[in-house]
Amino acid sequence: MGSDILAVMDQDLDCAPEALTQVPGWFEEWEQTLSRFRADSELSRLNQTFDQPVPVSQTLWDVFETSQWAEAYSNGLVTPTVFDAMLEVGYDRDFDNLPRYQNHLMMFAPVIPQPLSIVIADDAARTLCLPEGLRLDFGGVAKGWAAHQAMQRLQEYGPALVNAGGDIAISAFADGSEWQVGVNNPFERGTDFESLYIKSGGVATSGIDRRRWLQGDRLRHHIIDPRTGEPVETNLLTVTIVAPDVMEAEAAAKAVMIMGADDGLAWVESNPHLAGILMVENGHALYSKKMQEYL
Amino acid sequence: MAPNKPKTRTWYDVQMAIAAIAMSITLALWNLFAGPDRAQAAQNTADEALVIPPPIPTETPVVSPTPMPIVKIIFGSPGSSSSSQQTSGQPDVKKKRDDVGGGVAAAGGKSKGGGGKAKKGGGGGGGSTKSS
Repeated sequence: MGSDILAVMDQDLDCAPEALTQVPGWFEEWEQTLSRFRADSELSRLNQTFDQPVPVSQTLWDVFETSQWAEAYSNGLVTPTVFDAMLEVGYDRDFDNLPRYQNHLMMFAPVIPQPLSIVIADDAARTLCLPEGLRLDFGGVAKGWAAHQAMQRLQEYGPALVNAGGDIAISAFADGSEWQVGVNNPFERGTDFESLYIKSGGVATSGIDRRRWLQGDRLRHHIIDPRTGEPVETNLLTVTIVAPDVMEAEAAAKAVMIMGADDGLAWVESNPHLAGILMVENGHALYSKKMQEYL
Repeated sequence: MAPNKPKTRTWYDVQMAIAAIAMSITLALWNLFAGPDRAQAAQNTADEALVIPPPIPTETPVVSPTPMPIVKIIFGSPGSSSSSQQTSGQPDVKKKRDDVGGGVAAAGGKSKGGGGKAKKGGGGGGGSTKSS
């Protein structure tokens, strides 16, 4: 996933250190299943097989179902079928190894992602059949899913927080205490401009302030607008969402990024269980009404 | 008829002579005007050979967002439809949590798509959310 992972538990628990030592192994296992950057991952093998049902693991199946939900939830804005669109804009490897400047001499031809419904999914057999030329990239959905899974496993031992590259899954303290979560300042890396106090649920931030590069003379970033096949043109720099779980927070954050400030804030306000901070590129941080509960 | 042959031959010779003279004059004028250009072209070639073109950059730092102060616009504040606050740094921390029993244990790392970096959390905090 190319992200920093942090898992935190209350040290009052005698078993906390042992439980935490398992976390890296979990993420390694999920990486080996879900990463499009590993040639030998299960996802990469799936992406090389077309027009025939392929049995998949429970992990990949669960993430696929989560992606189906995310696509419906976001009205198509969050979809894993952006794989080839990503390649076209130059995001063809893990971001740590991605050249920040890429010569691009060929004509750019945007790839419009297709809806996930064209993938034939057999629930009973747990198989996926990709049509010719369609490849999947679960992206942030996988990250949120993994954070949620890790939190749930740690929750068996006590209150836990798992942060996977900015997607944070939180389980509750018995006494109702809150976890403090900082919101990173996109204009001043390494600093937070806000602190949120959250009992349980999920927090996710989507943004175009970090993963960006030049392709020829065009500035690129990693959030593809499925309607155009190109990096989204938006007036937002980052979007932070608090939701009942981190998977919804992740999907909502990305959807709002693509919608832009006005439509995105309206969409957040129309979902009473969501709270958002939308950082506009001019420095205005728009807080939705519900966000005040977390300040 | 014998008198025609000498006239034809003579006129042919005249034509050939005119053609030869015209070609000679053309070549002479060509060299006359091309000479300086040829010298200039040679000089230009020599000059260009001395100029080493800059290498195509392979790693160019991407422009980060321009630093600017953040203006918070909070909708639905009590008594007003919106309120604004301006901040350029860390806000005051309102620690609501009852800090009973000490700190937290943490484990961290980097999921492998790239290298590894251990990251340990401190007491009381849960890290930060940032775009990735």
